[in-house]
Amino acid sequence: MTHEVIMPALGMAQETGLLLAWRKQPGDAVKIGDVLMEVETDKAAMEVEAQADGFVTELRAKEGEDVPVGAVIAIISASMDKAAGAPTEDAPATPAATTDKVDDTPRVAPTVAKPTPQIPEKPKDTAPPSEGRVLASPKAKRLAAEQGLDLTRLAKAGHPQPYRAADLDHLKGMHASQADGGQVGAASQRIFARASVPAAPFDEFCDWLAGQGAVAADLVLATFAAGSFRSATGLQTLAVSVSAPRKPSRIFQDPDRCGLLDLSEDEDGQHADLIVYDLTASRLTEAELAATHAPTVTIARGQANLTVSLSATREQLDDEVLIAMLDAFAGRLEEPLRQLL
Amino acid sequence: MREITLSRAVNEAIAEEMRRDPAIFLIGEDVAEAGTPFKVLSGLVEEFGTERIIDTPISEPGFMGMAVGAAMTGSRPIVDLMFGDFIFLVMDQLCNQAAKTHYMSGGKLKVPLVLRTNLGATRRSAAQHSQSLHALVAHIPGLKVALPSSAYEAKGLLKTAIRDDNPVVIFEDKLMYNDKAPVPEEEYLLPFGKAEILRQGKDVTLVGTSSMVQVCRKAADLLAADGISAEVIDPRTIVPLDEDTIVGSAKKTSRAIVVDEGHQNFGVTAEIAARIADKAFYYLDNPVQRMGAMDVPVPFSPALEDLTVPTPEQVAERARRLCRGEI
Repeated sequence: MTHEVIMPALGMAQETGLLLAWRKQPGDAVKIGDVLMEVETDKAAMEVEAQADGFVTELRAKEGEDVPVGAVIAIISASMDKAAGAPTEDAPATPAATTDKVDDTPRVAPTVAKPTPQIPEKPKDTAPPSEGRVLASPKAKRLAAEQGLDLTRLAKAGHPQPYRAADLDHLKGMHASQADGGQVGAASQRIFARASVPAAPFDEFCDWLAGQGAVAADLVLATFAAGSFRSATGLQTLAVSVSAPRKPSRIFQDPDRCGLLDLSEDEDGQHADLIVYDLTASRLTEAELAATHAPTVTIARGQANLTVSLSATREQLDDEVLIAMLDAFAGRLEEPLRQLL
Repeated sequence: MREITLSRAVNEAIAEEMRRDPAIFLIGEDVAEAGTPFKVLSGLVEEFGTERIIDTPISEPGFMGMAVGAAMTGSRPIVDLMFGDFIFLVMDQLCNQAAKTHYMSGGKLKVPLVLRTNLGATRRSAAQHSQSLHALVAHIPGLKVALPSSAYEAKGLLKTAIRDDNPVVIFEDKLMYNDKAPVPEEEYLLPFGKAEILRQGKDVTLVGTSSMVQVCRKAADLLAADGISAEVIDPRTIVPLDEDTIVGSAKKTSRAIVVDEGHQNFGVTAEIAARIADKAFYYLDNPVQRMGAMDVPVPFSPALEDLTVPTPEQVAERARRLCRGEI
């Protein structure tokens, strides 16, 4: 029993996806829900979870490759045997196999991926591979497409075909219960973006601030994060929680509204609108943290760079805000004086 | 409102029109003193005389050809074809001449002719006097085809046919000649190409023609007892066909059954079902169903003959299976 992993359609008009990184390698065991890869579209970078249990036996697309939506990019097998003998992503045969898919997918993709915008992770792989097309009345297909329902889920659940309009009620129930469970519901889906900026400007700025008074670098980060977040969301008041390894987390109310030298901790603040993890003083170069109650900014130090990422659920931020926020934040790190304007 | 038989309604339509327009005459076999085998025309020869109610020898191609020529030269003939099965005998006069003359004369000639005939089985008349052949003429461009399903429609559609400047073939159900229905005393005409929604429904559309309209209405009654709401549509004319009403209903109910007494193969049910499938495709929840007469010569054996024509029970059962998603 093998499971084909395809490049998912993460947006309505998306034709290709940029494979940023594999999180699993051939031979790795995976469970449903494990992050399998990171994919970037023209809108955002997202983590894509595995839809089957087993072992990664084959990776057909390379990191950095732009892959047509619907193309098979990895294989998950139930047994380990195949995994041992499977070609790695560097095997010479795989690029050709991927290229061959290019011609096929545009014709295949519309039929399998039409109703998927709300559940982008699983446009095709919910139907058993041997089953082929799902039989449904023209009316049922039209209504499913209009309402963003995926008829292949009925097939996977063993609901007898062909499907008619009345079967959509059952399907809606399935969608609702999945959304409640927080698995693949659109609202609770995790969205993610990352940027990289040179570390020098920020470091020099912090050194200069330290010479002026007693402002710690992590509080500067809180201020920058709050300023970018406010410009992207338009929030009137916002509280920022700042955490760093081996330090207690602190909450600041509207840190960007007071001068940097007057910054003080807000003792009463309970709920943070934004969480900042400062990993610059640690050995970590990157961290994937579980979704929390608020959008989370992570700052880590590379060799000469700072890597900043923003992670949120769709419920908390939409794609545009996520991108605008991270872009503004990275810009402030790159040119700290912008924050003072 | 008074109730009269379909036979009486046809008689009234012809008499009223002949009084109105002296260019109208009626021609056919046994139409004068005999008043046709179905007694539809009784009394007309007494009023209009043998100059306008013309008995002919048994020669359908002959009197049909005479009528086409008379229509081209200013008369408005009504041709009485005793059985619809005899339409095979007049195909050249009807389809090659009457249907095409207006077109081939560049519009200089018109053929204001009505061919009155009938359809319907289960009268124990055997294979050559029991056919429903309206699909044959509906296939030919240039002919209009009316299929009344009641005394009211028979009168209103016939009067419209007589006033039409094009050849019209009107098929009466010969089993319905003695069926009574409310018919107004005052004059009325029924337009061609305008279907009648006889019953509103939401679960399934039953399109019935001529004799099958009553079958569909009875089927709808049976379905109502099961909680299935059927919409019943009578197209009244199949050329022109009121596609909008039929397609609109199919879109509303998502299901359609087309019932017609012609043979099912290549027939009226096929044409109407195809138009529904074409225009209402994305609204359909089940395949469009066709129920026509069995594709066999109509048997003389009463037991067998009755099996060849759709019944209310069969239509209702098909509708139930559709609504249950079994089809």
